[in-house]
This record gives sequence, C-alpha cells and structure tokens, in this order.
Amino acid sequence: MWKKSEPEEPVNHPQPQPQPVTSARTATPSASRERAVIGPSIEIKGDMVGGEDLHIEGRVEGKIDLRRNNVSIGKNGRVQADIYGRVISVEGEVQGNLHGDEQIILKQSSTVRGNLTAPRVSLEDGSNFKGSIDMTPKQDAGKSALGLETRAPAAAPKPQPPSGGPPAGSAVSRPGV
Amino acid sequence: MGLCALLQDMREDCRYSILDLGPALGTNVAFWSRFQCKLYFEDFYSGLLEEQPQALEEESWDEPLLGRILPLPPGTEFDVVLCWDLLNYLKQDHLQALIRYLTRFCRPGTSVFAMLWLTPEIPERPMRFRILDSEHMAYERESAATKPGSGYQPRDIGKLMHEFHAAGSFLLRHGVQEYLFTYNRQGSAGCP
Repeated sequence: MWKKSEPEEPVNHPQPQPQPVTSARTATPSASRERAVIGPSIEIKGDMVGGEDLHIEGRVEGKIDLRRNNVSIGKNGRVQADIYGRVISVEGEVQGNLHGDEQIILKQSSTVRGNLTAPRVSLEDGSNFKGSIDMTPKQDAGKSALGLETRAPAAAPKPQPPSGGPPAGSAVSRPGV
Repeated sequence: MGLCALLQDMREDCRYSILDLGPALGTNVAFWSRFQCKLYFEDFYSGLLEEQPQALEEESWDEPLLGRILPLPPGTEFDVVLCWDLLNYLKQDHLQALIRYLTRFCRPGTSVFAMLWLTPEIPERPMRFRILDSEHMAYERESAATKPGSGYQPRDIGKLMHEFHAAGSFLLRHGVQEYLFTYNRQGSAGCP
C-alpha cells in the first residue's frame, strides 16, 4: 500500500541559513531530491504551486499546493494557509487545513490549528494540536490500508501501580481493578 | 473497564466520529487509527483557562459562550464523546450547560465516556489519559498538586446525564468511577 521508498524524513533536513533570496535549492542528504527553502527572513503572501519539496522557515500566508511533494515547516516557520502535500511535517506553527496524500507528522514543537486529512497521522508528545483528524484511507488502497497497523505508542509512560487517593504519576487502569 | 465496554461495541469497518475533550495525544491518535475515525480534539479545560478564563467566573454559560469555548462544526454528530475526568473540574451550572450543549452534537446511541473522582482530593488539573490498548489506559498528571474534589456523587452525575442511559459504571480501586453513557433520544442508530 505504501511505496517502499519512503520519502526522506523532513526533520532531518539541515537547518536553512538566512538567505538574501526568496528561495534556495538544497540537496537532501540521502537522495537526489531537491527542495526549495523559504528562509526565516522571507514572508510570502499568495498561492504556491510547484514540483519539488519545500521547507519553510519563514512566513507564508495563502495556499500551498504541492500534492506530489513533501512539505516541511521548520521550527521558525509560521504558516497561515491550507497545505496540500505528499508528506507534511510540522515543527513550527500552522493555522490552516493540512491535506497529506501519504502522511502528516506533527513534531514535538509544533502548534497546529486546523483540520488534518491523511491516511496516516502522527503526533509527537508535546505537539499542540486543536482541530480534527481524518485518517481516510486512499481510495485504491483497499481494506488492508484502513489503518489496521498498530503503531507503538510514542513515549508511553511507564505504568505504575495505582495507590490510594489521586495517583501521583501515571498508572495503568486494568479491567477489574 | 468503561473503555473496554465502549470498544466492545465498535467495529473496524464502521466510520466513527469521535470528540476528545482532552489534549491531542499521539498515542490516542495511533490507537484510534485502527478505526475509520474522524477525530476532533478540543482540549476543553486548557482552552478554557488559556482563551476564556473569565468564563470560569460567569454564573452560567450560554450557547454563544460555549460555542466560543468549544467551537464544533454545526451539524456534526459524534458517535463517541470522551470527557475523561473533565466533569470534576466544572461547577454544576457550567456542567449542565456543557452537557446540554454537547447533546446537540449527539445522535441516538452516542457514547459518552467520563470519570468521577470520589476522593476528597483530586489532581489540580484534569489528567492526560493515554489509551495503550483496548484494555489498558495510562494516566499522567502535570504535577503532584491537588485540590479539593468536586464532591459530586454518582447520583449527581445521573441527574446531570438524564438524557443518557448509563450503559456501564465501574468503580476503580483508586477512587475513580468510570461511566459509559449512551444517548437515549428516540431514533435510529448511526453505525449498525
């Protein structure tokens, strides 16, 4: 159901340096895919379309439509836009609806207000999200793609036996207790 | 136990609409991904403190105010509402208004999962609950600080949820009563 050649992890991209131009192309470390970078001092208002991956450290307002490519919003990125991408990864702030053709990843430092639509959505602990998540399977993916895979809980707390009164840390509630 | 009871009735081939009134946690998103869910996360208490703190001082809550605190898409009908332990942190008038408001977004058969602290002291803020699997849940609290409990008794919750049927009630050993309510209004159920 998923291509074996997973897209590069957007989080591993090197941090972009402030640049005097609105867009710069960098090569990802592990592949020949190119991506455009919107540096931290750049502010864009309007619709963006294209055919390469995009990394945003600046401010964007409008619409980002890169359905066949990966879009990542870095820690400095502030986006007020609906985003269409293949894999969308957020470390910064987004206000808008996110449509991931394959996956949406909200990293620990992210703040997102909007609705997410993707077959797979993962939220890291610490991410601040408000809105809805629709994990609609790809239409052609069949029943096996209905999210039946179970992902290991991210940083699940260590179970502690409950004691009398309000529990001090975390604990596991078991049936019958 | 309440969660087990809730999950027993859920099928992986049905599409569910779930409202979680706690914080969005990756563990829970991963858990619900086995169902064809649309998940709505509205961290009610944090949102209240951060965005509408004055609302806590209001005598009562009207619909416009609740619409600002809990902006839900009009016409949405939830199959499951996860209140967790939120009920313990609101005064009775506010609770009544909240439940009345939520009822507008329920359909016949909507399940509401809630917890009531029966201990004299409760954590200072609502806890974070992680669904580890269909039988296990973990809870976390921000700090060890406590505050006096709400004093709500099971009968108070019964009165509050008078439009709901208590499909299950489970007393856990650390002083928490779990409830699973089902919305009672006449009509046809959502997912068979």
